[in-house]
Order: sequence, then C-alpha cells, then structure tokens
Amino acid sequence: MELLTWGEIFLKILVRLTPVWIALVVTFSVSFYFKRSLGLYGKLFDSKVGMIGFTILMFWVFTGFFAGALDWIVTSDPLSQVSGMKNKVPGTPVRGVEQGEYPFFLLGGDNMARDVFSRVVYGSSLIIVIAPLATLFAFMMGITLGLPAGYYGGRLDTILSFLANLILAFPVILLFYLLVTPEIVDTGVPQFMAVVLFFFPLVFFTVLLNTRFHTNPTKRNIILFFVVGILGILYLSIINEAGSKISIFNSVDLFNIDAGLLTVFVSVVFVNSPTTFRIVRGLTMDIKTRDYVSAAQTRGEGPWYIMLWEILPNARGPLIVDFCLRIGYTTILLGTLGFFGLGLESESPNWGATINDGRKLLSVYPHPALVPALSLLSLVLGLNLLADGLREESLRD
Amino acid sequence: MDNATIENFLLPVITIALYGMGYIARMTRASMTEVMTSQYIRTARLKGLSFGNIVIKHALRNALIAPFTVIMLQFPWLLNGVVIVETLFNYKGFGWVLVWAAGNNDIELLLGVSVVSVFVVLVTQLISDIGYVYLNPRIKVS
Repeated sequence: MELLTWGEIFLKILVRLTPVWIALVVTFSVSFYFKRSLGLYGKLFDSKVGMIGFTILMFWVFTGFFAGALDWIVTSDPLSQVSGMKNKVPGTPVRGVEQGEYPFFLLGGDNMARDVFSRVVYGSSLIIVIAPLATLFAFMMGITLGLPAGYYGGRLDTILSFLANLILAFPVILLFYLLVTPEIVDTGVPQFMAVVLFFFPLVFFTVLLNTRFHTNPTKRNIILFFVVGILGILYLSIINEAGSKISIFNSVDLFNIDAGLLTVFVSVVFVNSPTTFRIVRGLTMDIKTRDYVSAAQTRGEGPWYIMLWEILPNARGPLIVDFCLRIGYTTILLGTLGFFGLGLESESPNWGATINDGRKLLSVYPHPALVPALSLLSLVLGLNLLADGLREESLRD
Repeated sequence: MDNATIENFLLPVITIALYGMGYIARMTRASMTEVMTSQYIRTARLKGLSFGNIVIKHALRNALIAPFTVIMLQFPWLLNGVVIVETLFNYKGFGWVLVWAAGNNDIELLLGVSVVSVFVVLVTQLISDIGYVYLNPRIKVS
C-alpha cells in the first residue's frame, strides 16, 4: 500500500473522530436551545472567545471519554509494538495487517514502534481525568484554608502560613522521590496524606451549603444529607483500599484507585495547594478591606458566610484564570516527573511522558513529540480561552 | 562552569522567563480588567486624565495583589522546579544539585540545600506580606 498524503491523513483523522463531532454538535445544539435557562454555563455561549475555548476543551473531553471508556477512536493498541513501524512517518501503512485491523499509522510510529495517533488519543483520557481533578482538589484545599487565614489573620494566619511555607520550601522532586519509594508506600504515607487532602472538599461543600441555607434548616438538612452522603462515600472509597493500611471501610468501598496513580495524585495536590493557599489568602486580605465586607459584618452575617459568599465570588477573576492555567502546568508537571522516571509508569501514553520520549529524536523524527505537544498546546489554549470567557461573562451581571 | 558569559545564560534564561511570563501576564490581566470596570476609574476618565496615567497611577496598584503573590511564588519554584531546564542545557544549577544529592544519598548536601530553600521561601514570602501592606494600606499584617 502507498504512503498517505497529508490531505488523506487529515480526512481519515476527521472520519476517525466522527463520534466526537456528533457529541459536539449535540452538546452545542442542546446548550443553544436552553441557553437562557442554564445560568453561567448558558451565558458562556454569548461570548465568542468562551465558545471557542469551550469547543476545544469539549473536543478533548469527548475524545478522552470515547477513547478511555468506550475504546472507540483509537486505531490500534496504544501499548503494543508493531514490527517494522519504528519511527515511521505519518500515514505509513501497517505491515502485515490482519482482517479488521486499522491499516494505517495515521500519525506515524514512535521510537518503540507504537501508533502515535492512538497514544495521543488514549493519553487525552488520562490528562482530562488527572489534571483537572488534582487542580480542583488543590483549589478546594487552598480555598478552605486560605479564606480563614486571610480573613481572621493573627495566630491562625501565622500557623497556616508557616505550614504553607514549609511545603513550599520542600523540593518537589525530592517529595516525589520519597513518595514513590516502595518502603514509604508500604508505611501508608501516601494514603494518610490522601486522608487529609481529600477531606477538604468535604469540609468546603458542607460549610458552603450550610452558610447558604442556614436560614432554612429543613432545606439545608436535606441538601446537606445528600451532598455529604455522596461525597462521604466517594471519600471513603478513595482512601480505603482492601489489604492496605486503611481497610476498615471495605463495606462502602465502591472503587479502587491504583496505588501509583494515588501517589501521583496526592503529590500533585500536595505541591499545588500551598500556592493556591497563598493566592487565596492574598486576595482575601485585599477584599476584606472593602466596604461591602464591612456592610455584611454590620448586617450580622457569620464569618464563613462573608468568606464564601462575599469574598470568594469577588476573588473569582484571578482564581478562574489561575485554575485553568494550573491544569496546563499540572499536565507539564506530570511530564516532568516522567523525566526522572517518577510518576506514572513509563509506558503510559500520557502526553508529558510522550513528549519527553520523543524529545530525544526531535531533529530526526519530529512527529512523535510534536503531536502530543500540539495537543497539549491546544488543550491549554482552550482552557485559557474558556477562562477568559467565563470570567468576562461572570463579571457581567 | 568557568568563565560563563552572558551568551551561556541566554537560552536557559529565555526558556524559564517565557514559562513564567505568560502566567504572570494573564494573572495581571485578570485583575486589571476587573479594576478597570470600577467607579473610580470612570471618574478619573471623566476628569480627563490620559489613559496611560489612569492605568499606571490609579488602576495598577489596586490590581497588583494577585500578580504580586504569583511573582513572589515564582522564587521558590525557580530554586528547585526548573531542574528540567538545568538538565537540558546542562548547567549545574540548584535543582540539579538537589536531584544529584537525593540520587546519591548525600544527606549533608541535602540538608544544606534544604536550609537554603527554606531561607529563600521565608524571605520571599515575608516580602510578599510586606508588599500587600504597601499595595493596600488598609491591610494589617501582624
């Protein structure tokens, strides 16, 4: 068979991504139809920038979902090596292809003779799960601790800032070296860290809902019961693992997280949380001096109500931007870890590790590194545009 | 590295600078657009001040809290987060020393490196706390 031309490669990729296009069209038509009743999400469709960002983000979310959960878009196994396909240029026909297998390496082969296209598509499912979730947890922790530190000040601030400085001073690389050591994993340190770190979303949502609905105790109790119940079960499922240090909640254990993944997750949250803590704290100290905060204090609102419903919404501009940027940086951090042989397993098709692998042959065979790099670029670009759109629309009220 | 010249540092410095530049620029923009919609900016414009004057003298100081935090957080990161850049450009920086010490079980060197990084973190975060008070005099830091 002949080598594919660039036009043919492009067309074949477009065809391969059909489920994603259909999902995107469905999402957009539904969202456009109910635009006015969807709040902030609906308002996003009024800004062109936000819409472009949302399209790019949803493209990767759908790609990741279809590839990771349903195994649809990938053309060949992202881990299997095909003889004779090492470093082949994009559009090379696969040698000795059997009936029912995809006959091309659409974006070429990498230096281990694996399909670059499948690896990138499959890697997107890892990225869209790990990076946003880790960032979200770091933000929950930063917000729950940063708000009181900035609002109360005094001794609480001193203690929390000291702890944050301690973590900041702790070198990231050293932390990862320590956490992936088998002896340390056996003592259960990552799990105990998970116990602490994953507890903060629970606290955050409880306080958030309590302050919002405390004037209507019946409604509050119902909402809190469901939210805390669901989050609590998720929390116990995450921290609990049969046969490890924490295996007392086996009856509610819904799913198991791979120990290596948990370690990476915990360390990423751990190194990101002091930074978000300091940003939230700084913003809180600034906004605390505004008149509307004094007005709320005079009105007799509780401190947590002021923090979560007066200060936090007014700090959202920089926080949204930081959140979206941090997702990109987290993805890069995962790659950095792969650089030192830490983090996810070396074969895993996550973009950071793939870029790092391809880097060594960049001048000879650019495609194995360029494809994931451009994917990462587009994802982070999409997130930034979305952040811009979100910020603009949320400020316009 | 003997007789290091400015050319030796050009590429690694550009790499690290570009990495942090976008982040700080976007944070500044986010705070700035918010401040630019406030009432006193409108008053200043109606007063007939030039746009540059408004941005520099009236808006920037109020918008700098978040970017300033981020800038000060870059210092601890630059100490031990840029080890990739150090490895790629093959200069023996602080992060490289740390990884080397950790890889070779050199506990004394590790302790020394930690003392330096603790010192840098404490100083930069102290500066950032003092900076808040300067940027917004109504903030009280104990």
